[in-house]
Amino acid sequence: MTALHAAQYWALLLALAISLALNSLVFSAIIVAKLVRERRETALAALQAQLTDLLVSISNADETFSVERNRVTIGDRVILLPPPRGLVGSTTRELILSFIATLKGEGRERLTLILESAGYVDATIQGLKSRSELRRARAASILGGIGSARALPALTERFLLDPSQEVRLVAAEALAALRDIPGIPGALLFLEAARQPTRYQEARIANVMSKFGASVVGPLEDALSDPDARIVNFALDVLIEIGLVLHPDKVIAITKHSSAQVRSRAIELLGAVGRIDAFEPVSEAMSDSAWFVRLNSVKALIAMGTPRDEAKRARYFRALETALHDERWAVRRNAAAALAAADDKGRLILQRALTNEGLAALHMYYLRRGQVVPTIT
Amino acid sequence: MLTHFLWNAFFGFAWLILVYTVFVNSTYLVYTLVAIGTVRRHLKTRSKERIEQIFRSKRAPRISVILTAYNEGPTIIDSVRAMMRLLYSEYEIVIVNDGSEDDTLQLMIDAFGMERVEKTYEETISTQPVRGIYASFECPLLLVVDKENGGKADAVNAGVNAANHPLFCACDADSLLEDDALLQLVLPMMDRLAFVPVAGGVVRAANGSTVTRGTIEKIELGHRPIELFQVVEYLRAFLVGRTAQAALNISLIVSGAFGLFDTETVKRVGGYNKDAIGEDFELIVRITKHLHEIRREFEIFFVPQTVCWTMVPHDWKSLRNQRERWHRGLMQTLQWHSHMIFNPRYGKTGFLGMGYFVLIEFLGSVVELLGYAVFPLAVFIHVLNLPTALLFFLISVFGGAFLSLSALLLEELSFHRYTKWRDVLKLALYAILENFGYRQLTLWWRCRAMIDYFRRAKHVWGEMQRASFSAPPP
Repeated sequence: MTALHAAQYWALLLALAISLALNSLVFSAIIVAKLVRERRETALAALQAQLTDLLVSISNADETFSVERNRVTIGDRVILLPPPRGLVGSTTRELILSFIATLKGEGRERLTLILESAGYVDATIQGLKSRSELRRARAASILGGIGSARALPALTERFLLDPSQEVRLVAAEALAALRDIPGIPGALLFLEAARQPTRYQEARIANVMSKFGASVVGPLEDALSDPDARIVNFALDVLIEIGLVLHPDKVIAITKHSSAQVRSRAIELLGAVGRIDAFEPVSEAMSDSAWFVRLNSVKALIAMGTPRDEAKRARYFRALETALHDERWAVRRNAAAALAAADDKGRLILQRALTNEGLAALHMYYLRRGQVVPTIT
Repeated sequence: MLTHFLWNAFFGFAWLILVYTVFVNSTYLVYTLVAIGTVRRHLKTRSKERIEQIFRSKRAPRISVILTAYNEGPTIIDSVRAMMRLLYSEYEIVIVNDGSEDDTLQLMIDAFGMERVEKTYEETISTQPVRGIYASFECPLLLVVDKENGGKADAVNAGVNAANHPLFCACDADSLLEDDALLQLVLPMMDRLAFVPVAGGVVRAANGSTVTRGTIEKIELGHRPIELFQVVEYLRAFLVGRTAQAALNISLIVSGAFGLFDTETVKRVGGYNKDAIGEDFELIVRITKHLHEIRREFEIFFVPQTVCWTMVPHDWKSLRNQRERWHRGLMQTLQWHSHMIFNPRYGKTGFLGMGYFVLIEFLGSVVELLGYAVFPLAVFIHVLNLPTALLFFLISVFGGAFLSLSALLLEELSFHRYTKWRDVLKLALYAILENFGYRQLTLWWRCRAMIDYFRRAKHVWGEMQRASFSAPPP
């Protein structure tokens, strides 16, 4: 029993020693982490001060400017940029990048030239070959920010061939940021969207596609007849963002789609492009069973404005008057806003309708504020 | 003969406790390592650009922020103003006045020019009667639901009924969200192929920090030991515990003070249960149960860099009430959903998720209390010698301190919100000190809650002393 007792005692003592050692280790790590952070922050603040001075001078077109490798001459000052690697290099690149985003024209070109000349662009292109998906994506994103044409072939390759969907997408974003994408037809990007993306990736693809403008409107309109409602919605979203429709009949056709989401988006698009020839389907949507379709119908009517044609004018006000008594408050509120914003006839309809007890708050509001008309989501 | 039997019994029990301690500490060690890896990955992938993309995107789902208020006069205006500053493309704020007896409703009417409106209110989830709905024409994103008092769960349910958007964020009126909180929380919901019905963030103690017009201006620690102990506890629970559980996809708690939910799913499972003591825990268990039953792949997500600041109790009585309520809530939920525990039908949730709550959260307090009772007795009757008992105690103390210090290290390596040396050292000190008295006190409260629960004592919320963000507690 005594021997067992002693073994137990020593085992416990050992456990205590280990836990004490671990505590000391973690405590020391906290102290070291804090010390390292503070030193790094101090060094970075100094570098930032120096670079900010350089960046401000560069954007001044009157200053003479030349660059040779990492040696930048602005007026009579010479600045040596740190090599593109390590913490100092990446901080320099991040600082210049954040500055590039705020510049246009010559200042921006000068900074891109500096990054190319000092080896920052090449170093980042090397990053596109990294084994780590995260690093490749980060490198593509940085190259999009720098805006150097030198990165185009490498980015195009990543976009077309990278095994990671995330990297392909970031490369597409970078290419779109460069606004010089002869080798990438819009349809290819659209196909990208159909490869089971997450909603976040879908949003980014829509964002990239919207930058292609009119060139992708045709394929997007074709996609409106796709049997998959998700694809139709996606196409509608991008068209809304671009704000252009070449064949309104294709959009009008889907205002009767089985998916309320699609109907709602189609009405929104017709409102966004302000096609007066779409007045009929938009006002018809006021009797849709889904409240958000009716809401978008009211908003689309507001966006289209009061028609000049007498018959259409009468139908326009009738539709808004119907909406004023809608079961949904958001629809009523926007209809009231539309009528208040319209001419005397609209305001008369509003005054007459607002005697209804259920609309008392709207009544008070518009009587008090006259024509202040918010559009409410 | 009797002495020999007692010796063996105590000796066996002592080793059982030691084995249990090793099991618990190993679990936490695994959690710590998983949390470190997860936080590092989060920091690498969740860049500023990604958050900005969501902010600019028209495809980001709309969110209803639900704020429940019961006698929140001192903090309500600051809280609403803070919510109005949130960065998000399209959201609404639904404030539910849960029959406040103070001037909460009038304060909102005056501050935001609210007027009573005839808005459609579909009672999908049954709640106490709604007295009126108020909208603000000056701030169109605000909506107030004024209802009869029915408790926190009932109030959130009324907010869910009134919410117009596919996602809702439930927050307490005495909490402050960081500006990009919604963007941070919505990202996993948009960026996962699996369905994410709930995403939660970190809750931290705001006591001692400077708050101006609903925004945290300066992050500092409170002065009272009770506040500092809770800062350490929250760091350990959120940065390590919740992060690791979510990474292992066994998460079952998203704090009621801060979480983003899929509105349709919550409505489908019937909303918060009004009879549940720990309604947030119970709701997540019910959601996971429902999703397992319909065989839908899902993830409960936790975002460690999103913070909700809240005033934690600054007096012992309030803290005791809170902790007793939490523990009763734990036991009630485990009892209500006992069929899920270690049930293969519920996969990892049943085994590891519910298993953790049974074996560590529930059983832990029983074993620890028994340890405190049996060891002195064993020394007293000379079954165990004093140095051995002391060694047991010290191992358990430094094991606990190691986990708290690890959480502090993770904080320092990642988010480093506490910038002053003094604050970091203070937290390190309290990570050790909490094991001498505070831990035993909270253990006693948990055990009391357990006894009360088994005796079926009537559950009361107890008076909670709240401090306003604008002024330090008395």
